[in-house]
Formats: sequence, C-alpha cells, structure tokens
Amino acid sequence: MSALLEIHDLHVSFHTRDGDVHAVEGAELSVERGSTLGVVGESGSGKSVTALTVMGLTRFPNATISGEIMFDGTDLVKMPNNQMLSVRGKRIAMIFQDPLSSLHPLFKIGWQIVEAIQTHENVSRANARKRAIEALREVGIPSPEKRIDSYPHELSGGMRQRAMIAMALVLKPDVLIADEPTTALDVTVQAQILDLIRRLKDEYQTAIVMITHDLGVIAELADEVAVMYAGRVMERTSRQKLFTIPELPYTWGLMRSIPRLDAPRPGRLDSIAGLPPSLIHLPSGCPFHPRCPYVMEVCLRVEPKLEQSEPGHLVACHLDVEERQRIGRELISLRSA
Amino acid sequence: MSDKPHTNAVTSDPAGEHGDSDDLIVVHGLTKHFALTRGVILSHQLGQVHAVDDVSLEVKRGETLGLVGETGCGKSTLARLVTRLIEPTAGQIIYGGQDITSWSRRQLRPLRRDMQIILQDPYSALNPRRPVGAIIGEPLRIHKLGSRTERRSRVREVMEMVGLNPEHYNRYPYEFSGGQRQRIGVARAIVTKPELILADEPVSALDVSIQAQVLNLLEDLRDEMGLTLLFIAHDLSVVRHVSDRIAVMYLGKIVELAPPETLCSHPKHPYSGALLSAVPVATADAEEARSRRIILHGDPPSPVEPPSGCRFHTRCPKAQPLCGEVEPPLEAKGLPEQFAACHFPLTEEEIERAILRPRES
Amino acid sequence: MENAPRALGPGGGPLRALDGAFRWLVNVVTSSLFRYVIRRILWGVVLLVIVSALTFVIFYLFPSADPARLRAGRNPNPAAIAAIRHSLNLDKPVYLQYYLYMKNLVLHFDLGFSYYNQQAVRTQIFQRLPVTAELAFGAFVLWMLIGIPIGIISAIRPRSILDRMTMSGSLVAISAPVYWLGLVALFLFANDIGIIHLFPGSGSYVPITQDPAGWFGSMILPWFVLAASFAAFYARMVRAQVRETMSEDFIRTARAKGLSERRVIFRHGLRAALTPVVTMAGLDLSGLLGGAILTETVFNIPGVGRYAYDAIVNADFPPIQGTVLFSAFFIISANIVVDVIYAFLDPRVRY
Repeated sequence: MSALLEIHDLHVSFHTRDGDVHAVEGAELSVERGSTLGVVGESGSGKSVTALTVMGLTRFPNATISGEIMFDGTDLVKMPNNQMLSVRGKRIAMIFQDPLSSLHPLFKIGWQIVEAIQTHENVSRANARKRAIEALREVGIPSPEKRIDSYPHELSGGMRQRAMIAMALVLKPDVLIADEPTTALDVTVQAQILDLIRRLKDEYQTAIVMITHDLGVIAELADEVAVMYAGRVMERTSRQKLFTIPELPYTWGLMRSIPRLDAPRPGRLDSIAGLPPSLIHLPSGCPFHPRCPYVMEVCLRVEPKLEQSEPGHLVACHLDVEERQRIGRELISLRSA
Repeated sequence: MSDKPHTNAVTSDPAGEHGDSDDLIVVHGLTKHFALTRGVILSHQLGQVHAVDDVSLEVKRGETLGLVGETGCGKSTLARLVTRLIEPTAGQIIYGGQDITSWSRRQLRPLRRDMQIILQDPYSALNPRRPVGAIIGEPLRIHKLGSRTERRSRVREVMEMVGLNPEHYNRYPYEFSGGQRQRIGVARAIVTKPELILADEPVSALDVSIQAQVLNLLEDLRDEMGLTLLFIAHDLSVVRHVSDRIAVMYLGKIVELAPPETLCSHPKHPYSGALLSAVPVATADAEEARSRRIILHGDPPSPVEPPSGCRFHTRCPKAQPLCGEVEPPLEAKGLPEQFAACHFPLTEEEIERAILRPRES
Repeated sequence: MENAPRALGPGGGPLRALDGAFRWLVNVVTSSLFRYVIRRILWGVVLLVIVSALTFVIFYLFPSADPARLRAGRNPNPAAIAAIRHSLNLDKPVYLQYYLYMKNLVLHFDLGFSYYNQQAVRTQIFQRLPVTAELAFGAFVLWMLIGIPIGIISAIRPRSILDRMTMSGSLVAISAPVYWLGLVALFLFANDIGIIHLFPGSGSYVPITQDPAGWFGSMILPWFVLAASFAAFYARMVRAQVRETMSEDFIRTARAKGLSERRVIFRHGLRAALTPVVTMAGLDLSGLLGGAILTETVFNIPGVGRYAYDAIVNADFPPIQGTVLFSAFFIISANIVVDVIYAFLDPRVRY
C-alpha cells in the first residue's frame, strides 16, 4: 500500500443535549502521495468533520472517535495529543474557508507565518522571516517584503487566502487539507487560487485533500473523488470515471441540480427531493433512501456497503451495477448533448 | 423582436421620457456615491465609494433581469436604488410610468406593496422571535390588507404555494432548515401579490440540491404570478438559468447587457469573457477547458478611486491606451439585443479560444 | 519626506538623530490618530463645561436644603440668613453665579470655598486625591489579579466545579451593595468591633508617609470590599469573552498549525479576548478616581469621595461642584486614553 493517508471505518459522533450527532459513520478514504483527493458533499455530509478528525481537532470531551487513520504507517486516531502537535501543521496542514476569520486579526501575517515555522523548526526569527517572505512571493503576493507586515484585514480576499496557503505550505507538509478554500471568494479570484494550488502541487508533490461542494472544482483539480453523504463515503473513484460513468443516485442528483454554463438551459432544474437527513436521527438502511428516485424495498432495511463495481470504482448502493452504469452513462450523454 | 434597444446608451438621448408602456422600471443616469466620513459629531468626508455610476436601464413587465458581478460591483446597490430602498445621489427612476425619484416616503408607501425583496441569508433574514406565520403575514399587516382572518388564510395559501406545511404556522424559524427558511422568505415576498421581486442572492447560501429546489420554486411562482424579477447573484450559471436578460456589472457600471444564450456563447466584453471562463465546469474535460481560461491579474480596484476611462482597463487582457482615457459607452454590439461598453470587444476567435460554448440545442 | 540625511554629510551624527526625531514628531502630529485625540480633547472641554452647568442648574433647581440656613446654625434669624446669603452670592441670579464661578475656575483655577467651613475646595481635593488614588489603584490591582485569572480558568474548564462555584459566588458579590459588604466586613474582621480581630477598623487610616505598616493594614479591608464586586463582574465578563473567542475560526487555525493548547489560549486567545477588558478596566478605574464614596464613608477614609459625601449631606455646593468636575475630568480623560490604547491594541480600529 503506497497510500500516504488512509482512513478506515471512521466513526465520529458528538454527544449533545438533543442526542448523539453522528457526524461521520464509517468513512473510507485514501490519498496517494502527490495526488489530489476531492471530497464532495453538502452540509451534514461529514466531510469537514473527517478532515478535522485527521488533524486531531475533534478531540472534544463529548466526542467519540473510532476507526483508523493511517498516516505514513501510524494510526492518528490513537496518537496522543502531544505527538499530534508535531504532525499538525508540519506534516499535515489545513486551510479553511474564510481567510478573514481564519487568520488572527490582531497579528501581522508575517508574524503568523513565522510562528508556524518556529513552532516546528529551531530557526532564528530572521531566518524564519526570510522564509516567510519567500513563501508569500511563491503564492503570488506582490511586494512580499512589505506585505509581510500587513494585518489580515488590510489585504483583499484573494490575497488573504494566498497568505493562508503560504502559511500552510511553508513547512512543505506531506498533505494539505483544503476545506472549501474558494467558496467565499469571487469566481475570478477562485480561478486564480485553484491555479495556484495546482501549480504548488505540481512543484512540491504535496498530496491534497480538497473538500468542496462544487463539482466544478473537483473536475478541475482532483485525481480521485469521494462523494460523501450523511457521514459516509458512498462513491469513490477517479475523476475521469466520475464524470463519465457516475454510479450513485446521489451523485446523479447533484449533477442534475447544478445549472451549467456549457449546456442548453433545462426548463426546470432536476433537484433532489426532500431535505438532508438529521444526523441525530438517521434514516434506517441507506441514508439516502428517503430522497432517492430509485429506492427499492431493500434500501429501507439494509445499509449498502462500499463495494467495488469495477476496478477503481467503489459504490455503496443496492442498485444493480449494470443498471447504475447505464443510468450514469445516459446522464452524462444527456448533459453533453 | 423590436429593434429598439432595451437600454439607453449613456451618450444618446433616452427614447421617450417614460419608456415603453410595458416597461415596469426605467432608470436614467442612476448614481449612488456613499460618502466615507470620519468623526461622529463633526464629520468630514474622506472620499466616496462609487457604488453605482450613471446606470441607465429598462426592465419590462414580466421579465427576469439578472444582475451579475463580483464583490463591490454595485449589483445589490443598483437593485435597491431602483426600488428606492436606498436614496440615489443622482439620476431618475420611473416605475410603472411614474417618476418616483423624488416621491416622499408617504407617496411611496402604497408602491411598496408591489415591490418585495428576498434576501440572501436565511438565518438572519427572519426575526427569530416571531412565529413564521406572523413573519409571512407582516407585509399584509403593514399595508392593512384584509381582515385578520383573511390574512391568516392568505398566509396559509402562500405557505402551500412555496411548499411549506400550513400547519407549521406557529413554528419559529429555528425549527426550519436553511432551505425551508428561504422558502419562508419567498412566501413573505409573494404574500401581497407584488409585481416586482428583488431577489438578492436568494440561493447563494444554500446547498446545491436545495438551491435547485428554491430556484425551481422561484421560476414556478414567477410564471404563475407574472412577476417581474430582479435577480442578483455572483454565480453566473444560476443567473443564466433564470434570466431573460443578464446585466454584467463591474465597479458600479454595466459593462454588458444581453440575453443569456448570447452572453454565454458570444460575450463581447472581456470581463464577461473572464467571468465565463472562470466558472469551473463539472465535466470530464474540465482540464482542457481550464487551460484556455482567461485569468485576470490582481484584485479588483477600490470603488473609492475607480480607474479612469474604462474601469476595467487595469486588469483587461486587451487594454489599449485609449481604454485608460475614454470611457466606452454602453452600446449595441454583436448580436441583436446585445450591448457592451468596450472599445475592443472580444472577437469570435478569442471567444473560441477561451470559452466553452454551449452546444445549440 | 525627501530631505535626505545625505545633506548632512558624514559627520552629521547628532544632527541626523535630531532630524530623525523631528521627522518622527511631524509624523505623529500629522497622523490621523493625533488629530483624533485633539478633537476628542476639545470635545472633552465642551463636555466639562456642560457638566458644570448641569450641576449648577440641578443644585439650584432642587436644593436639598438652604445652605445659608444650615450655615446660620441653630435658631437662625432671617436677618442673619439674609446676610449669609449675600456673602455667599446666593442672592444673585443663577446665571450670574455660574458666570462668576466659571470665571474663577478658568482664570484662577479657583474652585471656590465651602459654604460650610470656608475651606478652599481646591486645597481639600488635592489633599484628598492621593488617598482616593491609593484606594482606587489598590482595589484595581486586586480585582484584576483575582477576577481575570478566575474568568480565564472558568472559561477553559466550563461547567467544572470551580466554574460553577465562582459564577454563583460572583453573582452574590455583584448583587451585594458595597456599603453592606463594607459593614459586614467590619463586623466580621475589624479590630475594634468585629468578631475576629484581624484588621484595623473604620477610621484607622493613616497616611503612608507617616506609618507604612499602619497604612497598609488600614487599607486591606477597604481594598477587598471595593474590589469584590468588580472582581466578580470581571470574572464573568472575562469568562464570556474568552469562551466566545475560543470558538472563533482563527483559534482553529492556530491549533491546526500545531501550536500547543497553552500557546493557543494564552497567546492567540487571550490577546483577542482581553482587549475589550483592558479598556473597560481603564474606565472603571477612572470612575473610582472621582471618589469611591460609599467605601470611603463606611471606612472613614479621608478621600475625595468622603469629602463629596459630607458636602452632599450639608448641601454644601462648592465641594459638590468641585468633586463632580474632577470626577468628570477623570472619566473624560480616561475615555480618550482608552480609545487611543484600543487603536494600538486592535489594528482594525482607525480614527
């Protein structure tokens, strides 16, 4: 197994006054060195909680975490907190959605980057500062020697996200987890940032976990894709296969509900009926069954397992494989017609 | 289609003071500058935010006009100016054939019944302390429409129309999901049977699957009630889906105005081209599309000091010296009903190179 | 700023320093912050004038007693009262009295004389100010040292025993009126009348220059009593601020960087959470400098507050006006200082 990061049967639930919130229910993911895994899902899918759990940031008193997160041979779930400190930020780094609220408003960005460096490496401040300037330059911030002393609110949205990326990559981590990094940005700025991420990934061979709800972003950046729903991974395959033969009713629903620029206007958007499930009271059997147009009797009783339908394509669905592939192909050809 | 332009070029005379009889809204030279001041009691001005500058536009009854643009382009401000929710610094607003530019609040009041708004954030748009039935019925109460029983039954009727269970009349907003709250917002907007609805990013805060549901709902209601819709969004794919015409805005100005198909396959303004090519497309050949993308450099300039001449010239891949000196007027260019404000609009070849064109159906 | 030091030549060391200092001064003076401060100071003066006028009006519209009559002693006869009224300028119209008062104040910094005992108000206030300051600063140090750590710990360990105890205890301390607390403290711990003879009782104040040990002993109870409700209040506020800050996104980022929890809390969290607390503390302290009336009265400490209390009881206007003006001055100045400090602490704030 050459996978750098492998998540097996991860369960994360939070005990609250209203009941237990089952945020992640048996997630299965893996990321190879130098490749990009796109994790797609809407709110409540468990994608962010999974990412935070990899970083060890969900270890609250009311949290129950079980399963395995194998990173370079060690299980992160079982790793004690003080050891996690040398993984977090140094070997696995994470960037978040809103750079204005995610950067400390009262410290200069240079200070924050230097702090990241000095936490993990024994270098002088002057040295760290030089590296910070270089990092800012690499992410495309003009005049980095001046900008390094700016406060986050003095930069534009795109610059801020670049600064966050600089801070995350300055120590050349093995894995970068990006949680909806462009959702809060204008579309032209998003294009710039995605471009930047791609360039940095090519240069440093960093493995990337890109979490997003935007299938378009996945199509551009990901090598492998995982579709999550109600805390489970329900489809896992290469980007190519996902966009040629998707095999999951939820994925079909997602693709149908997105208005596209490059296809003729449908009269109505095919949406997915119903609402996302409550994570406290999950539906029985397949969590998607209340909203699935292809629901069968077995779907209400038995939870589908993530199984291989084809080499490199894992799906959790009770529908017959051939049927799924037929529908998937049809959907794609309809959309490209 | 008539060959009279649906908009008035900045440099030419408007065609008729009050526009066509089927124009619901006509604006001339609409401008809004927000003053930046310092000091509380004795304040002095530091500068002005040129939120909207000299915009002229017509909106026909029953049409859906999409306003699209990025942060700071002025689309929200423009929509609010048109309905006088914000006071214009200059310009003229004609609504339903009447010049309402200097009407007093009292005169405007009966009009407000016909203009409603749907806001972006379903979590802050509803008063958390009131039951949803009361929230939806509030416009009826304010405009004194109907007796209490009549209002109640209208609210229930409207709740059904938007797909909410009328039995939930007495529930509070926190008991509903984001998509449902947005439906409540929609219900509130249609309860007085308005002619015009201003939808300010109504689906941006929603999950993709819910977004589609709410968009379908808006379209159904629009068709059923014959609404005129001002649809504001930053997401071009959403706007394209819903609009009859799209106005692309940049730094307070309309840079292109065209029907969606025309705009999306034959954009004339380089900014429209950049916007179109920036949208990541969810297909197998996305990578190929991406490699042709027009990438803009730098950040949008500040609306406090907009660039001279064409405001886009500082980031435009086709900019020439003329662009920094002379501001291009919004005029007919390219296909019928297409208007662009550009000295050097995109050529077919450039479009071909950079943007995926929708296949003709 | 292009006047290059070059012009000074190689030997221009001290000149260069002077030039640098001059340039710095120009920078400061032309900065927006400086202009803001000047504006605030000017408004502050206006406020002080308004305060003085208001006090004047209030006193004369709603006198609690006729000062002349009080002055005249027992069994006053109308002639004596009238004479006293005249000598105190009380028979003149209000605005004229106000004008005379302000003239004295502005030209001679003269705050008038007590109707009661003819003492110069200014002298009295200046004599008593250090005493009040000792009380105020001591209590300040005490409440910050107690309240803030308790608030922080409660925030970090929510719903723990410590948290529950301190939050309910603080409710008691805030609700109890300070004079009640003072009397209870004396009743429990005072040397003379208390159950446990621990501390000197009321009236035992001695100046620090005279007897440092005695001074310190006499101040302990007043400091604790005065600090009690503030400490409680600050503990609650700090707790709320810290809890709110710790749920912010930038704290999550700090943790994601691999910082130790200690550093996340103390460097990232507190820096953001305590900024508003600092400014509040400045304002509270300045309020006390105007005189902690109730505490000084219960413990018979000869500060400005006690002075004001006595004046009120005697309907003695000049000291009342004087102490009010001083109090207003401290609060207004503190407001300006605190806003400036806030601008330094939070770079997002721009004047």
